[in-house]
Amino acid sequence: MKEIVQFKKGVLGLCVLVLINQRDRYGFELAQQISKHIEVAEGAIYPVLRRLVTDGHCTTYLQESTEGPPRKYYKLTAEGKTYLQELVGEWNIFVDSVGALISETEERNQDE
Amino acid sequence: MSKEHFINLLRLHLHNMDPMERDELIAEYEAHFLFGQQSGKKEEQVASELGDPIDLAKQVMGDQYRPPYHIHEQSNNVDSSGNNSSSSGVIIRSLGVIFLSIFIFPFLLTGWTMWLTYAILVFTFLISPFVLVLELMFGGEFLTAEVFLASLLVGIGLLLVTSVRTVMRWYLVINQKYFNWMSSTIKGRK
Repeated sequence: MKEIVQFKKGVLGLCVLVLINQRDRYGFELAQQISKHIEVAEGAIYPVLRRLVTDGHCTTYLQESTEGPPRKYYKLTAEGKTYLQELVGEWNIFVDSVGALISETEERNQDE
Repeated sequence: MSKEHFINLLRLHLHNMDPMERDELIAEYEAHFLFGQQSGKKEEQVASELGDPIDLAKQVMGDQYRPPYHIHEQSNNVDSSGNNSSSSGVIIRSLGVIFLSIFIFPFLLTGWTMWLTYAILVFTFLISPFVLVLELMFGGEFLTAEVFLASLLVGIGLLLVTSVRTVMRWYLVINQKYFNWMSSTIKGRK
């Protein structure tokens, strides 16, 4: 179980960046979007967002809303965009490699 | 878990974070609760979707994470005595200790009052020559008996002065033992 929790946590940054790249979003919205696809503790996205800001991949701005508290929006910076492209590339290689590893060993098991 | 409990736990476990950053981060979680409730969810549901606040604090702090002190102590107690600090047990033991304290506290207080009286008495003995001098300065009559009395009191005072501290220490230890017993009883340590 620990592995599952860990790789879900590990991919949160990538998911957040992808969603923010599409358009600026606020924390709650990001949590909702991500938990639609991945079962993960929603609270974990806030530490990720904080790190993305301190690393310069995102900036924030506040926007008042007609209902509820002001929303803190996250916006991708130019560095963030480059970083995202790099991440997506790495992710695809990673998934392919792990997939290859699994299918390779499965084939061998069948041969034996 | 209620919103308040969630936020308090989070704040507690982020105790060594920069206060400005911590407030900013906690504001995000508070806003998350409000947005969640706005979309028709209960506080408890939002809290459980957010996850364990202690885990979250660990994620935020990384290797800077330090458990708050008393939590540390509590987990040691559980280790040494088995898990007998269930919440109902804590409440019952606390009530017991409170009722007992209503009885014991006046005695402890009386002890301190007696000690204070004793200390003041010894102090008065010691300063009796000064009182005598003051009396003479303001035109009092010189009496040889008073001089003898004053020197006698100083003598007694000097003999007793170290005992004031001894008695205080001895009594402090008793008080301390009682308070230690109280806290360990509430926590459920044998």
